[in-house]
Amino acid sequence: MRALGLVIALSLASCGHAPEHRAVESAVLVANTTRLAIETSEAAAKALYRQEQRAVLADTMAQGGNMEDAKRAVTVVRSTWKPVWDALAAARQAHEGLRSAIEAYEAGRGAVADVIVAAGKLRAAEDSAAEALRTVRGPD
Amino acid sequence: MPALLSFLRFLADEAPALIPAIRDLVHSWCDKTGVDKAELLPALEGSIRDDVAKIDADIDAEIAREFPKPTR
Repeated sequence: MRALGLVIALSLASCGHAPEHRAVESAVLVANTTRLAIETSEAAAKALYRQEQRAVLADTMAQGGNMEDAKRAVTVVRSTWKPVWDALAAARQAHEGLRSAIEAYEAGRGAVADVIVAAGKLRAAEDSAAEALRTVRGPD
Repeated sequence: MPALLSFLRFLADEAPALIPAIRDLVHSWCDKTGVDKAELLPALEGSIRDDVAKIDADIDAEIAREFPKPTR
């Protein structure tokens, strides 16, 4: 959570390029809101993942299963959840990418176009993570 | 240094089971070279896959504790 926890703040008040200013401000908003969304999704996913493994262990125990049966049961749960962890890791990486692009822009080392592209990648990564989570959890 | 940080993050994400060994390696390498550990070690922390590996390890321990070994 270290990288995601960084609060991105820009000092663009003196910037004379209004469209660029708005684009970067919008990207900062995307970075901050998706950070919260990703953190919330991660926390919920981890709790549910543990709970699902415990539930299959309880079923296996109730059916008189042994250690091998228990391992098989949790392997199924772990395979089901793998796309969620991949998607959430990708979302974290996309967040880090946007953060770097904004910092580079602020330092005069990057272009606003890079910030816009990175913001788009983050939105897409967040959507993919939400979809992966919906697939595992099923419809609400 | 950014390339090394990216590589450490890659390892942390793709091979969370290796994190303790890599952490030891970073410590000894930093001691030898004088590179600041504080710059490198955070790259090995907080990975989602690391968190998942911890959950799996807890569950594996529970299985070992609660379930009988199969009889042949």
